[in-house]
Amino acid sequence: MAKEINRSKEIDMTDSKKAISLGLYDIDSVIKYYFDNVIQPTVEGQDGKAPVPIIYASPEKWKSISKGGFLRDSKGKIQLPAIAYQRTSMENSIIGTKVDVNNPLVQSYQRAYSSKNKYDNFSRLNSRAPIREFTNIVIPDYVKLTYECIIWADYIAQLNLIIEDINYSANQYWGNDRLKFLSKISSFATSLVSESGEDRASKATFTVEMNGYIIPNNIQKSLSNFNPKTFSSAKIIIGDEALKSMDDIPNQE
Amino acid sequence: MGLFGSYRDVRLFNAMNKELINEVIGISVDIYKSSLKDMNENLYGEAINKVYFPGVRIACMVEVDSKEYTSDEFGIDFNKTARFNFLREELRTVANLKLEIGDIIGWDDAYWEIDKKSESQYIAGKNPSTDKGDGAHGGNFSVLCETHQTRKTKLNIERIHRAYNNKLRNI
Repeated sequence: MAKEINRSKEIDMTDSKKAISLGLYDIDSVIKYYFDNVIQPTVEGQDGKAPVPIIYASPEKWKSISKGGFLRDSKGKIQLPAIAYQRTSMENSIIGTKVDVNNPLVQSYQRAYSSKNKYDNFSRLNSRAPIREFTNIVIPDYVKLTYECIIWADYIAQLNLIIEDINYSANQYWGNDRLKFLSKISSFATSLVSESGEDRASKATFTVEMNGYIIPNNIQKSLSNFNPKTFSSAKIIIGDEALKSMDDIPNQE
Repeated sequence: MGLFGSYRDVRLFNAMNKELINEVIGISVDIYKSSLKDMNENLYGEAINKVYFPGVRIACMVEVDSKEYTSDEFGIDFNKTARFNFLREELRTVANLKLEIGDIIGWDDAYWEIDKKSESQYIAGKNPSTDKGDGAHGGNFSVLCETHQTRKTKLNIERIHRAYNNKLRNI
């Protein structure tokens, strides 16, 4: 006996694998993006205003030397100023919960128009409610990420400018066009290194707390009942009209 | 009165050493003295736009230590130290300057900041300028400088080509 086919379950889920996901890498990238494109810390150097490069701390050796994120002289010595940051902790926030990871709660939003929900007059004339398409997103894991940042400059006067630039953007939403996270900077600790046999340098350290969220794209989510896309059923609305006699039928001409 | 270390001896030493560092060894360095009159320091005792007199080329002996590498948040960096040994007579007659801590020496495509300076290498153990004897013996022979390689961004000697952001150029 042939297997009975349930047409209602035969939905094109080609795009289902493209479920929205957001990882720690994205949040880490946001900090660099925000520094490079929004804060744009600058110092007064010998050639006028000069941008201060920012890197994620402790890169691999080949990256550090051959493709360094900031300036080195012909001998390979680091030139200042520069900023480095690294994530030091991740703390789970109590905001929001999926309840059950095998059957997670989702937030849904409707796509305005799609191939199944076209805007045309035919549907209006026939009182046909088209299929609506919903994209589902698992309730994210809300986290608080802590980043340790170090500013390294030749002069205290340069360090002041950088701190002023960063502090101006403190406690704001940091992000790009796609993502924004609330940041928090409480304090800047400054120090001056002046030892014989080394260059005098000034350093400042500060901590950035980012209130972010992560939506992993993992196997457990794929195996659960979570479906990244759902559709409503199409409806044809038939009005309830009664006539006294056949003569009351409107003229169709 | 000493038997050795007379004026003629000192002149012989100087002539031999002058020939040695100029003709035999032949290492030359550039000395950059700060133009204090043109530099404005801030509250922190630092001058962002430093001004130096044109470099003066002079022969000397150089001893370089190997690089000491450090690896921290900013990646791999190094510190390197070197000792520059000058003939005092050469400094006085050719360069006509007095070396001081903080002066810059240009050598081997790098700049070296003087951390320590020693001028106590006396011939026959006597400095004629301060000797309580006849003042005709001995000689203040050399100037030894201990230095470290400094970052070029700290100096205003050489143009550093930064990766400029075009948006910032218009500010």
